[in-house]
Amino acid sequence: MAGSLYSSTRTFCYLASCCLILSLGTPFVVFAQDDNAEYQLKLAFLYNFAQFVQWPSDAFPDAGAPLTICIVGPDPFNSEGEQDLRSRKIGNHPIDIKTIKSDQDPRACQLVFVRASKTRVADEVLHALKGSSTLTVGETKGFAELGGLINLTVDNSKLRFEINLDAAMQTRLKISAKLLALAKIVKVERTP
Amino acid sequence: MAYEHKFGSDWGFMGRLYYDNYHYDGFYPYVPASSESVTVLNRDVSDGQWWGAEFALSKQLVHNQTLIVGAEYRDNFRQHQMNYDKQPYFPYFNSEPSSNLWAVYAQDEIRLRRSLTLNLGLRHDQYSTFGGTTSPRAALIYRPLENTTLKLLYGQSFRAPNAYELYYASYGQEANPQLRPETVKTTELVLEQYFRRDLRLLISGYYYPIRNLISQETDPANGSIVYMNREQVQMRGVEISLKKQSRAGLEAGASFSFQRSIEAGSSRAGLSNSPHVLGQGTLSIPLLQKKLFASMALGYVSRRLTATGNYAGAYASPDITLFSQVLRNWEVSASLYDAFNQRYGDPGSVGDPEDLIIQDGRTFRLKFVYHF
Repeated sequence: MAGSLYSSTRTFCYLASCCLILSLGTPFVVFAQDDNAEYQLKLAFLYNFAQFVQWPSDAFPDAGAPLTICIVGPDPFNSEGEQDLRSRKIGNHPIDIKTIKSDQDPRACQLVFVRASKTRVADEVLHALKGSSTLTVGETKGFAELGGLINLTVDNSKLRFEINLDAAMQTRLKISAKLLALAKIVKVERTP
Repeated sequence: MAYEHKFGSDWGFMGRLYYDNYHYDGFYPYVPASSESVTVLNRDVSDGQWWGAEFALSKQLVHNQTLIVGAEYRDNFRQHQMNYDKQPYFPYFNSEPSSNLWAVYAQDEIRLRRSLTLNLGLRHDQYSTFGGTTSPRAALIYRPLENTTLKLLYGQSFRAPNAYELYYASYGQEANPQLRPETVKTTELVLEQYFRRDLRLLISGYYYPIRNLISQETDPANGSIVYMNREQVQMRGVEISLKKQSRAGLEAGASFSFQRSIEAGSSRAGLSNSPHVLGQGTLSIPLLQKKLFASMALGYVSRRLTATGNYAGAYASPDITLFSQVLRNWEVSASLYDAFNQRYGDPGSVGDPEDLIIQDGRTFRLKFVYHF
């Protein structure tokens, strides 16, 4: 009788988890055409990115310091979702979310989310972060080509993401192969 | 290591000391779609070690009362689980907690009258992870006639969350160290009736409300699987079984159970993979002076709801086994499962790629057991 209630074996769970996460990157993630639903999903993606990227230990002032997600531009996320993330941890690091202005120094942030805006703002932020261990996430066409690490794209109401692997190699961030597997890899032709 | 001793005519003592371990090591290769030529090896490890001790003391009291008191201790000193990609290296999680628990219990068997016995029990469990739980238990056993026994049973019990549910966190799965035990209050009425000495009829009805059932949920914050104390489930059912055992070694039995499980406050038709009717018929015939037996079993399972709301069809599956103890110290058996090769399907779990998992069909098994 109880067998049917606790039937999931370890292998089942393993397979199930792969499928669920695959669904985050690929066509299953479809959202309604409204900003609220779109940004709820984008916040979930930011949380997943933070889980499957590893920062070098010196990217934090100490082992229990918060992992700070900084939003450049107006905050699009609902406060309920943000409050939920603040109650969670990535490893030993509690999550903090705040907004910063484009002229503020973003180097104290572990993850910077650049709102859809003119590429000039993205360029400024990416320039300020050169050589740092900050994960940059954008939502503007061409953000990855500009040197951003991850760019969220919306294709037919489906949320996907692209990763600039060359830019990632220049940081000391480690990205899980499982995350890479779901991304579209962006290559940038370098001028000699 | 166990020790048992009787002191005089009315004292008994049982003690046990044990050590146990479990190790699991799995390698799961996968190909990241973006770089087809590379295979990434993902390693999944769990490693558990524990020791424990228990003792029980029984005393025959006057007025036909037997009192048993006991205590138990268990130290799960190693509960290691981890998951990582080997190359390129990426650690998903590494958890090395330890935990312990102790329990004390007392049980009193009181013969109220010649035909009426009352069993009372109380047990307290203290877990280092989630705290204490006290579980009472009572049974009233009435034997109005030589061949008739009526039992009314009530009990509270719980299942503690295991290390996998509490701490496992990998790609797409999260830990929940806040999990609490799931609890059940069981009420059961049993009638046991013998017709002659070798034919037994058993009828029982039960009602089991389960609270805080540990179930797999999806975390809305990131789509990962997480175990939570979510569902309240009510199970009720009736079981009927008839068993005959002849002196020559022939055994025949038939049983039916009808059960219904519903999730409180849910509009769903019932729980997935939970059949309403189960039937079982068995027959075992001695062939060679109780050394060689042929046994047949016919199992029936009614249709079951799948995770997506479809139904897995009902099936009846016969199994045949030949069992022999002809050689000294050896047990040899040959079995044929799903003899008619029906290839029925069972429902998959939430998130599985298959809603219905087709089983292997006709299967053979040869088994040899050697006793030292």
